Amino acid sequence: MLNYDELIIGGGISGMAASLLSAKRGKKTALLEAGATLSPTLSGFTRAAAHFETGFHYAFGLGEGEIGQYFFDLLGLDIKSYPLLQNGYDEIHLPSGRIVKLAYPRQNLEHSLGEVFPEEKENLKKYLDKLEDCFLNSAYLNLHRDKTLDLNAPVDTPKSLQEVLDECFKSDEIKAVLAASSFLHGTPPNKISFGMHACIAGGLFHGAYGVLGGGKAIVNAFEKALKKAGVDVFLNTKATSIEEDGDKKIIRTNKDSFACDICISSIHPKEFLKIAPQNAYREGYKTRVNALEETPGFFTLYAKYKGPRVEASNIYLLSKTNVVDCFNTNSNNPSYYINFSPDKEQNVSIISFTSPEPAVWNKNSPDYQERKNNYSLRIKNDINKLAPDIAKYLEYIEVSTPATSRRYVGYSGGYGLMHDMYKTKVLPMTKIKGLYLCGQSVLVPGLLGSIITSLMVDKMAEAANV
Amino acid sequence: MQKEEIIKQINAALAKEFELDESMLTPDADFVKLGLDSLDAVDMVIVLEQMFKIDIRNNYKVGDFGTLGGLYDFVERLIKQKNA
Repeated sequence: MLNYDELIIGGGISGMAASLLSAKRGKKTALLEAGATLSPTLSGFTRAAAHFETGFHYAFGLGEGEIGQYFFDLLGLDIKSYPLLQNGYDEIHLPSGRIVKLAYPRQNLEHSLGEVFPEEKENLKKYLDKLEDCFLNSAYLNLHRDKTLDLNAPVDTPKSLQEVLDECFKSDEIKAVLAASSFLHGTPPNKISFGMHACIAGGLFHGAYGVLGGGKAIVNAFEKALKKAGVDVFLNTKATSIEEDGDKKIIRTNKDSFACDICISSIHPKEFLKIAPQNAYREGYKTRVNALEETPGFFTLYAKYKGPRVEASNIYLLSKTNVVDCFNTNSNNPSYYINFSPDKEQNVSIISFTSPEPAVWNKNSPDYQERKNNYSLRIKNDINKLAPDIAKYLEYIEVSTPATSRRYVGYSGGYGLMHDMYKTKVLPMTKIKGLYLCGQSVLVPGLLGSIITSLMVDKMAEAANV
Repeated sequence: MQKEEIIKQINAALAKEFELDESMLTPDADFVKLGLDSLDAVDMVIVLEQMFKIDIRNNYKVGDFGTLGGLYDFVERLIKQKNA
């Protein structure tokens, strides 16, 4: 039995952040990761001398004095960011054949969309004001808020992104252009609250940033900081059960057993429920969490791009004008998100949504390889038709399915659980003192969301004073 | 919906979801004494919102209810508002 003050299960971004915060409080801390490396999604991979990102494309809030940079400094991470998309744009290809530029930052967007949809100019301004309001009023994201929370202030009934779009605009096409960024959090516009969407998409209009060296550099910075902080990292170590022994938590794994006072799980909440003590939750809550929907799985093609420089950072090929329908993972007519790496190579990932059900993409099923090949072929044909000017310069290198994601991170929904405003929220606390949850399925999604949840859990662990 | 029906439905839901004995569910029962904690409180809101199709989260002000009786009145008010 190995003894620690605090132990974190799951070595993704949230688990690594929680470990650093724990060590910062002077605790003897262990981090368990079931895989062979820390944060494989964020690290990406290298094939045929080309590096491909699988988790990190860009983030907001990484400028000087902004929230992301504040977190990095707090955690002791040496990460260098640079402005991306500052005068750039994403391209939205609508089913009608119309191509619309989603320009950054806000004034560019107002200008470019205003030209395409002149009759919606005023509505657009109103919509972007709302978006910015939500973002700037977020106590979590805006360090420079000049007002404190007024608990008695009247609040609007929360609305979904779709409801707000329907209220603001007449044109279905401008709604599609603005809803497309739902692909960045994986919850469809009719289920994500406008507030949460605003915190993600609104942040991008404020300024998107890349990181020098990409996702791999973020992971390297974490690894360095973990070493410096004295956190013991156990790779290839999968937690199989958590038991209570008085105030102690006993974590059994495929290798050693661990005893600790505080245990923080950053793994998928449904996986956590399988190993958590019976009394961690009431049965009703477990049932509700288990019924939560996964975000869509990603079927991704990776390719080298050999053509003239593409100015758009990302291209959305929407198959339906109603973006809610683009989230249908059984569609015969999927939408695509094409990301170009910001470096001079412009390596490409082409992502489409597919079912996250383990049975649908299962490496052990006899027809897995054949189905994967057929699906890839169909995507290539679609890209040839929908984006011929790009397709002719692509050299396809690799393919990943939700089964690939499951192998590396233990679940197949691209972004973990959906953040459905009408359903149960996965909260960081449990019924057991000193047992907590963090990770992108808890409270808020994304790189910054994951770190925010780790910070909240850190405060709970500190207050628990076990 | 009549108040009695609302009370009946709330009590049934609390008994089922939070494993409480229905005989304890009286108007003067307070949540802490019923053994409900902050996690239950958030969860209870979701359960009641879905059951009655009302928005509790954004209509609630600190101190609105501390007992079950207060919750009955609060839910009844929101249902009336919704149907108004």
